[in-house]
Amino acid sequence: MLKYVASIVAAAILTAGCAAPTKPEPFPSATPQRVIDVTQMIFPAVVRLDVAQEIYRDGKRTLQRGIGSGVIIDAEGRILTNYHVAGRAAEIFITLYNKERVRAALVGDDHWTDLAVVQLDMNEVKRRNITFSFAQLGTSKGVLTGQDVIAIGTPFGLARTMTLGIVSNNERTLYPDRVSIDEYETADFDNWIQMDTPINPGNSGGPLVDLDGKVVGINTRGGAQNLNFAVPIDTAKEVIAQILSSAKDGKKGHVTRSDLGLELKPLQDLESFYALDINQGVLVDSVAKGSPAAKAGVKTQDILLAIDGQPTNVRFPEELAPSRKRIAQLPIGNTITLTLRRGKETVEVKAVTEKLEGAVGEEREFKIWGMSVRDITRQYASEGNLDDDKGVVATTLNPGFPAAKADLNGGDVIRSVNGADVIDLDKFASLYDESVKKKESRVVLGVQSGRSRRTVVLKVTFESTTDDNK
Amino acid sequence: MTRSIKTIITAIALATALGTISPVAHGEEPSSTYAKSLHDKVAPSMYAVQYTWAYEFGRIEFVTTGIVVRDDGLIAVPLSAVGPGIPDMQMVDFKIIVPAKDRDEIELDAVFQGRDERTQLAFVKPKETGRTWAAVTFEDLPIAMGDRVASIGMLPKDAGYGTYFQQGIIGAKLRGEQPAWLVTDGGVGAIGAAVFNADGKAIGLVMGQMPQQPFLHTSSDRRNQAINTLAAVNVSPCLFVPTKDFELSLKTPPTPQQPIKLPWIGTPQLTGLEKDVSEAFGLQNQPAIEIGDVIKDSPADRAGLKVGQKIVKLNGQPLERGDNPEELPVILGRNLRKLPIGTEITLSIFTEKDKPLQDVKIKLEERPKNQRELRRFWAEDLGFSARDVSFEDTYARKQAADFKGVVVAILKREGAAAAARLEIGDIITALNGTEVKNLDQFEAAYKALRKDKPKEPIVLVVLKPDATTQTIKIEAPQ
Repeated sequence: MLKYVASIVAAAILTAGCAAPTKPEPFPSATPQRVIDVTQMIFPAVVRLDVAQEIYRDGKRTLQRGIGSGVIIDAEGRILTNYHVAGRAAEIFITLYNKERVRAALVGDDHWTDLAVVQLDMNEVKRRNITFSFAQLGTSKGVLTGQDVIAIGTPFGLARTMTLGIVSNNERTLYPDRVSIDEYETADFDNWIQMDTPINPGNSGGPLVDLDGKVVGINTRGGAQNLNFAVPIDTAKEVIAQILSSAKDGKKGHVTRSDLGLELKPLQDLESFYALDINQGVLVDSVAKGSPAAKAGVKTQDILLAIDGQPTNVRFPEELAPSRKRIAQLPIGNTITLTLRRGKETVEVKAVTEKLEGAVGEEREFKIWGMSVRDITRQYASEGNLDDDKGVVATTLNPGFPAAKADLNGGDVIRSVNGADVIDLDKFASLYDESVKKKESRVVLGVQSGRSRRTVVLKVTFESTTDDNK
Repeated sequence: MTRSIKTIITAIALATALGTISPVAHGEEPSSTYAKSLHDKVAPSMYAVQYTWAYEFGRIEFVTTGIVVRDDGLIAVPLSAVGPGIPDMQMVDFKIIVPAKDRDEIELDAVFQGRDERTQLAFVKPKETGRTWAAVTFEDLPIAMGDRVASIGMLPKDAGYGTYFQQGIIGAKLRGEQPAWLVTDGGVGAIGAAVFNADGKAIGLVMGQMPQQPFLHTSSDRRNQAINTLAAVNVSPCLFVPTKDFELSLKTPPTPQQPIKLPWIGTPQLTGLEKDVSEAFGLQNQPAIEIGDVIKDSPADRAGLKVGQKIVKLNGQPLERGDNPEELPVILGRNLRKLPIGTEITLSIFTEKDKPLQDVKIKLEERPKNQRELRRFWAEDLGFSARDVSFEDTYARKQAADFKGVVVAILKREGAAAAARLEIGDIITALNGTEVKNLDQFEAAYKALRKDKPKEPIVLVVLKPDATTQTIKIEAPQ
């Protein structure tokens, strides 16, 4: 500690003894002319999105409308925006700089980074002879705290609004808080850019640009008191590439990641407690039940020193996201070697990576029973301390319909239908279809809530259809 | 029967004979003489009972209505007045307040006798002997629709703990966890009031009324706002519990030496079958309870009860019905609670349609200790209290019953532990790398650490309520 103080003092004296260094400007600053130039350059690539997102409410699939911003990233009419703007979108309309409105469709999304890629309807664009321009993506790696930046978007639907500010922090972590979008996990794998450019609801998805007019981030969250956050463009570039390469044959693009089921904690000031050298390893704070790490025998309180021989050092919270990202980027299904410090021993275990799943599984509506139901992911089972990931979970109920009338509750896990085991959502759907086809008026569900099992009987009525009347 | 009641009964009998006043017949308006004589008879048996909740951050006094039920001054108070959230060791300084109009009130030291969860009562007793006490004798007498009932309740502190008369008509019978009579056309007194029939006999007690508080006074300002002179009367309480349901407690009340031990069988998740579910199993018109969980190595487990089975009979009799199927398990629980530990019960179990019922014999065992029975250790310097792990803690987290650790019971908001994000409900499993076994061991280890290295941080490993673990470093105040 003393040595550390001494070196700071020495540095201070050195600085005081020198004249201010004349370094070349690392980035252009916001002169009035520059701001106008950049604005004119980037404005034609910024769009407003009117989105209807698919959500489930009262047991039904329904659409929730919202407005956000986006930036066109290529001549093919692809638009980069936030997941919370356009993810799960069923309908999208784009308003271009020239005020023309064009249909668009979701290409793919990724809630972990809060990003989505949207495709302009190019047939319509060509047919109507609509023109647009696209923005240059820069790099976020060199973004410096204090650098001038411009945010552009559609706050409160007010299209083409430009705000100016500076980068307040270029590696913002909110650790130990976790953030989510509805129930979807986000921001685990990247630190954000924090800036003081005013951001309001509707700005989301719009570009943060430097004074070269290059996109350095996607404006994602606005806080009170001008604490605003953008997803770094380097993260976005990787996500765009994965979404575009995986979006095929009408299937939505996505990002595939690996998972070990480890909850990591920075070791800051705990190194001496674990008898480690400063900045060595990362603490395993928790191991998810049934996860690859649990199967490999990783224990809480182990210190993860290396993955396949590569050191994993997390002293500060800011180092956590990159370390999680390293795990996420491991190939799925590969056997890896984890080097662990356990007490005084160093042990090696082999783990097989699995595909990362969020807690929110696929959701569907089961109209006649009056309920929406979600698949149970391993993550959901782990967070809910369920015995396994079998069954489906009731999410919302339509009042007055059989499920609600039978006192089923949101969060109840359905384990069986008429005595047949429900393994997953597909199985539940097939049992539902079968029951509806047979017009069963009584359906017996085996339900688990917390530690309690119970039987629920749905009393189903079938309104006579026109077919029956024939 | 006490002398005062005898006196009043004699007086009424005498008056009847003389033809000046008659006892109240069913549904008739009672005379003002009846009201006065009942009030004057019962008032000397009513006392305000006070205790102090001495907890980690301070002391709060609570005062509730008490009624003398035995000649030696044993006083019954509603169980709700000695809140289930208050640890036993934190309830101190029991007092019996003797109200008086014409002199200062007297405070008598008292001893808490214990909670009696069999009947939702608790008891206190004066420390000194030798004082004469007028007891109310509760009797299990027939109660019918349309009966006139009267009750004597107690007013809050700002009305000098005065007693008051309230009357009404039996309007309905409610079944439920506690059977209760609904009194209309007036109502009954506030919580703790005794209820009398037209003959002046004590037939029940007012136990709980939503949203009424069971207190006459408290030193907590926030709670005290809800207690004022008129609140006791204005909320028009209307439910009372008949003697039959609590006479067990009057016969065998708890004592500090012999607290009431409750039985259990180890099936904490029971669901009363709704009509549609009953029908699906061919159990229509038979009250039935589905077993939702069986605790490993509990009496139920050893007797072979399984998840999914349905209980349809207790000791050969169909289950007692409530007003809706949800009440079936609580009624069964209430009936079992009244049985002594060691009693063998027979449950008739439905397993499958068209199969005969299966009789299962189960011996009642003592219920695992609950949280408020456990001692706490107040780690004042870092701002948290710890207690031993209870069954509820391990059960909720799906951990083995012998899971080792201590539970964070309370946190000082601005304390070092709260700043380090320790949370209430966390189970501490390790302290500075040493496994935590129980409260005694934790307390000793903690004290030694804080004494030896008062400025050093401590590192805890905790199990969170969602079954994840966390390492928490608490910086010591410098």
